[in-house]
Amino acid sequence: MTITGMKYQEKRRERENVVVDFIDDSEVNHVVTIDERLKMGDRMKHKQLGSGKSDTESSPLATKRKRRMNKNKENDSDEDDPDDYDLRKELRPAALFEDGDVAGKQMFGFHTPKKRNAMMEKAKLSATKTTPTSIKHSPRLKNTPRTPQVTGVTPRTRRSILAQKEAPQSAVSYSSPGCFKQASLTADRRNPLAKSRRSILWNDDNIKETSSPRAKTVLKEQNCDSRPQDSKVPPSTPYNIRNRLKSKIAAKVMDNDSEESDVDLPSSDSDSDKKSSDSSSSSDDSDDDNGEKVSVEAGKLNRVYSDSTRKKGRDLTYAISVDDYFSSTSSKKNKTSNHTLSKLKSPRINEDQLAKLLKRSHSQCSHTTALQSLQKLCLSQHNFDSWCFYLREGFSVLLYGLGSKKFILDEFHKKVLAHEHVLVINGFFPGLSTKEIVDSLTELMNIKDIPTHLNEVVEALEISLSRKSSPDIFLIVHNLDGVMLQSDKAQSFLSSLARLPKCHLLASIDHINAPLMWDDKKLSNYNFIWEDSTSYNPYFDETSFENSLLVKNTGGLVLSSLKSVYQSLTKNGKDIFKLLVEDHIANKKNKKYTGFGFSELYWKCRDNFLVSTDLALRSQLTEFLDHQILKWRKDSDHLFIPIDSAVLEQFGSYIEEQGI
Amino acid sequence: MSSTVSVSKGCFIFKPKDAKSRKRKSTNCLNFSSEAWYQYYSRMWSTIEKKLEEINENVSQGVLDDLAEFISKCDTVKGKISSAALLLGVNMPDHTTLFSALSNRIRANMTPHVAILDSTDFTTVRSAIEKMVALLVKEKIVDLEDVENMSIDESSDEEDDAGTVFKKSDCNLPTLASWYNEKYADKDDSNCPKLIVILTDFEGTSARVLEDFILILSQYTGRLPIVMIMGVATTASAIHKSLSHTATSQLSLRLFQSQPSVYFLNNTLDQVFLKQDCPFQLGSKVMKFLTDIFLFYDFSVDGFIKGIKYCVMRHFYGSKTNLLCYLKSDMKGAFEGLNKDNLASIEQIPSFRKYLSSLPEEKQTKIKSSSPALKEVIRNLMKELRDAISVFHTFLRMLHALVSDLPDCPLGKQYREIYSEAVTMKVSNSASYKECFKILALTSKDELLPKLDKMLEILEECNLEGESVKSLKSKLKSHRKKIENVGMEQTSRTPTKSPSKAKFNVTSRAQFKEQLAKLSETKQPANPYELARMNLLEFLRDELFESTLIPLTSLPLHEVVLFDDVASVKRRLIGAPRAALHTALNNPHHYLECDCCKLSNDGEILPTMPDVCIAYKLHLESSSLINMYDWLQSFAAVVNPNGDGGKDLDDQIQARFTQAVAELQLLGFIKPTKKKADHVVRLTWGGSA
Repeated sequence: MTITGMKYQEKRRERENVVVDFIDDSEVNHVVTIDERLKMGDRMKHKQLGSGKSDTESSPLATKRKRRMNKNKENDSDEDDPDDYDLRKELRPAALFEDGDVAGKQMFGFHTPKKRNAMMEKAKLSATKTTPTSIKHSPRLKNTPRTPQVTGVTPRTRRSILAQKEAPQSAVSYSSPGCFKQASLTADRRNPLAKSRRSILWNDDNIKETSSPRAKTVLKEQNCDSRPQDSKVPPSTPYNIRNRLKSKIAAKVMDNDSEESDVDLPSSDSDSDKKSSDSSSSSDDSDDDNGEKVSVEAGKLNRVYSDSTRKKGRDLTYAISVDDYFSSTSSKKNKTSNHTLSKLKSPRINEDQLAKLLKRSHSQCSHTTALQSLQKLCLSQHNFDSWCFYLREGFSVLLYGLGSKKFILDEFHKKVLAHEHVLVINGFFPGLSTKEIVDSLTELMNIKDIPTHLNEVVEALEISLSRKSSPDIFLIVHNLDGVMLQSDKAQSFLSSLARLPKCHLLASIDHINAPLMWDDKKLSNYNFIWEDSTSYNPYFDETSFENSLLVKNTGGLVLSSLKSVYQSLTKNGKDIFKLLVEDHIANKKNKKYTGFGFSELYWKCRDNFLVSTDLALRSQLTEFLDHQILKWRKDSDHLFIPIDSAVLEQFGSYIEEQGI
Repeated sequence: MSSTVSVSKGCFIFKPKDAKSRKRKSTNCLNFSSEAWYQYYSRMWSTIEKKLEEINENVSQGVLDDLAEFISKCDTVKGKISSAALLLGVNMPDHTTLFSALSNRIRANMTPHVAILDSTDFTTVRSAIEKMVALLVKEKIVDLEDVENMSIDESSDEEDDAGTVFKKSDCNLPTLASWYNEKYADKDDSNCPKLIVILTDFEGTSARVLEDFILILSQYTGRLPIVMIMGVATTASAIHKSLSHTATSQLSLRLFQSQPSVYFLNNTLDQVFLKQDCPFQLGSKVMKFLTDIFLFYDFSVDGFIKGIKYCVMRHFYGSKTNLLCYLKSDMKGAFEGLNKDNLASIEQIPSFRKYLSSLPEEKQTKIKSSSPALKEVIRNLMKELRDAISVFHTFLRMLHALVSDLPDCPLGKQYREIYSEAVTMKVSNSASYKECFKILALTSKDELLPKLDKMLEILEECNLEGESVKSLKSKLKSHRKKIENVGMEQTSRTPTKSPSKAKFNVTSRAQFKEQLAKLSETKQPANPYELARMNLLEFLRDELFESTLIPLTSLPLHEVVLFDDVASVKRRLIGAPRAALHTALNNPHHYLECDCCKLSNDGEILPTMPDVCIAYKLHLESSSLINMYDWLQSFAAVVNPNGDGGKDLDDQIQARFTQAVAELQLLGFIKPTKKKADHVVRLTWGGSA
């Protein structure tokens, strides 16, 4: 393929994006009644084909399809439907899935397609599911010129608004090819093309009318994927017709481009890298204005609707459609803007401040009563009693649902298990290890010699628990799906513990994929009773260990542990460490710095009368290594402190202040 | 109570402070024995458990016999380990029972030296061999005792066996060989007990370690009579696939196959739960649900029984009325134990109220006013209910015998299937029942007679009293006799006069058709067998099953014995964590039930929603990468439409957003990435363009 060809394609791809935005704009800026829109059905259909999307909310075709699908769905649920009978007669779960809990069905069910296109139609159905309400709403939205920008709240459509603003600026900034950052191709070039696209749309319609119905497919092909050989629909139109159409469209496009978007024309001739870098810089420039604009516009509404056409069925298609997976992974370019958090006044809030702010906002929460009643429901005595009964009968209790469940388990611990042998395990603690669990268990049971193997530990516990006098033990695991408990080893260990008759497990899970950890055997060992305890409680404890992008890591923890280790060192040890720290601070700007050479350190220490022999230095260093405040790079024989230089600096100033 | 959050440790131990004084007492919070319902529950479940144990012993008898024979017969050839591959099916959780039954049996009858090795023992060859030797040698000390007793013995006096067992480091094959030779030095080669090694989970065992293990063992085959039994969950070819030829060539392998787990399930259900003497009856929905879990999730009988256990627990838990679901032996106590409270709640049972309202006025008031009268009524009703259950099961079994092997099995092949059809609705009204009789009307004598015999046998077996049953029995017998004798008497089967051609002097095709139709209508089944069969079927349909197969749900007080709360079972036995999360995030109104968050369509985002919901709904809009800054701005625009956007963002909103994002990360929807500055990756899909 030639270079011009590629450029041509790229252009087409841009156009493809423009299609969507144009329609958005038209919905937004023009007053269109339903009837008119229905009249425009053809065009809408065309749009659907062109953009390869299924959001055909108002076309009559779609409603018909929807009706059909609804009927299909009824068939699905209706037990006595004759059509369905044969299928049901083969093995088919009768009681697992019911109408009542379709949510689960939608989420997990891989519906076996009954017809060839059933999967596709299902996806489309869910995309148009909310049509009636949206039709009700959309005219109103369209009649009020203020409302449209509502859509701006979602990132995607925001961009189109950005684009509007950015368009002239990108023209200005074009002449200065700056950095070579990877950038989104879409943002700023959409708007100039929008108008041209409109004319193309009309033209396409004309073409369609004159040529065979097949032309639609051709158009679809060309619009949604510029390489015909890649498209799924094999081109069945005769080659010459296709060619003719192609050249016609190409001519139109070139015309329109040259007429209306003089911004883009030169760029298509030049290196596309430059182009993208420009767009990034321009979007950066204009960003402040946009943010304000969006929020102001959104402010005029109390209720915030998300993009009306696009949003439809979002939540329903969630995890249903396999096609969604492919469409989300196949697009190579991630069309995200280049904004960074550094644009904010305070890009990263530090931890203490965050906690303070959150506490304040939490007290202002609007759902206080609702949340309290939810909590009350979770903490009810009835619940606790029945849990005791389950535990007694050899089941384990597993809590799931949104919201921290720590307080529920803590309350259970306090209320019911106050006088029992309890081991609380924080699965969300990132430093947790099975060894720690084993150690605590053996301490709890007073087992003296700890076996090395996990299954031997279980055996030893089993023996010690089978004594008549031994008490029941309770394991409370917050986040059974915690990072350190996700391994197969940890899970099989915990599940074999849960199997022991005198060992009772209460646990909670949060991760959406947590159940994937368990196979048949583990599940049978755990023998869970599942409890939905959605509480909407914020996950303060659970998230406190996470390294969030938005939180400034002050390193307070590291610093304090560093201090306490340092204080327990001998005088000579302190001085040696001080040498290392000073060297690190001095070299903090040096990117190639790999650490303090061992021999260099040795001579320096000798000079300061800190050590007299190589061996003595090594034994001093062992202490640092054990506390993991030092790493020995064996390959280059360099010593390196694996701590952030900012923290080290703080530490250095602390030492100086204290004079130790 | 001290806090259980720390930055340096993840485990927190809590021991009761006054440990000494409470040591003897059993754990308080798990002690339910003071509750009346619990006593009934525990008695009920222990009877069921006892029955299950009995059945477990019988059910795998066949394969255990085969294995025992194999072990006693197999010769020890030098260089070859005689081994058995036991194909068990994928229902892993059930295998434990089978293996313990096997080892008990071997220990009791053949050899005390049995080692059961799990896949977790095969981390290294060394650990596997150590464990094996330790187990083989240990059996000698505790001899034929139960596994349970053994562990208690051991723990009570640990010093006792410390001297006799080898040290762990000494547990290797040479010591085993010398120990074995010493022990059985005076015995004949053929009389020496064999050493049985059982691998429970072949697929889960590391193939590399297992290969070495086999090769090492094969070196000792001359000195030690080792027999290996491997539990294979998939197919026999798995052995050849995972082990190399060098290893498999050391095995002289024989295949054994256990019954499929569906067989166990049917057996257990038939013998334990779906019987008239089990006071606890499962409703059709629960029954269907549990069998669905079995058939579509795990094939595990163990899991199925746990499911039923939950049902029984649920049925009794805290219930005041279900005490009436007593065992036969408890009958007296059950009625004496009824107090006012119980009676009042029994009165509230819908089916009982319905029954009361059908009685004449004066009787009603009399029952309601005095508790002895009420008790009497309840007692009678319970007796009637139990009789009805017996009758129901007996005749349903007869129906099952009649229709189970019909082509296409309209009513299902298994008793459980026909049961779940009949328990809640009148089976004689169902379409499949009618279809069955249509097919039955075509059966031959040879097919029909054994069925009738079986039905009579079932009727004979259960000692049902009552006049109606007896008369039905005698009628059925007479019908049977008639059918049997049909062939005996000399049939003067004069062929029906074939219509003479003269009759067909028709002029048109239509006329001819008409006449043919008429002929076929008037034709009678003159055959005496057919007549007898028709009579029999009529009798079966109109009398036998019509009067006896009354759905249990139509009887008064059925609630106390029939458990059909499928919603609770479903919620507790198969959780829906992901659906719950999705619903909570997508439509908080569902949980919060507040007025402010009512959604008019699914895509809506309301500023009143919890922060994490807003962040979640916004993130659905994105494709695989999400720009944090844009996300934050959108979030701010939703939460506080009038506030400043862009640079001068309210710190509080930023903090709320930070928390929401951290929570989404914990829930597994996003994770940080280094692909692009200040971006996160979305881990789910859907809703993206």
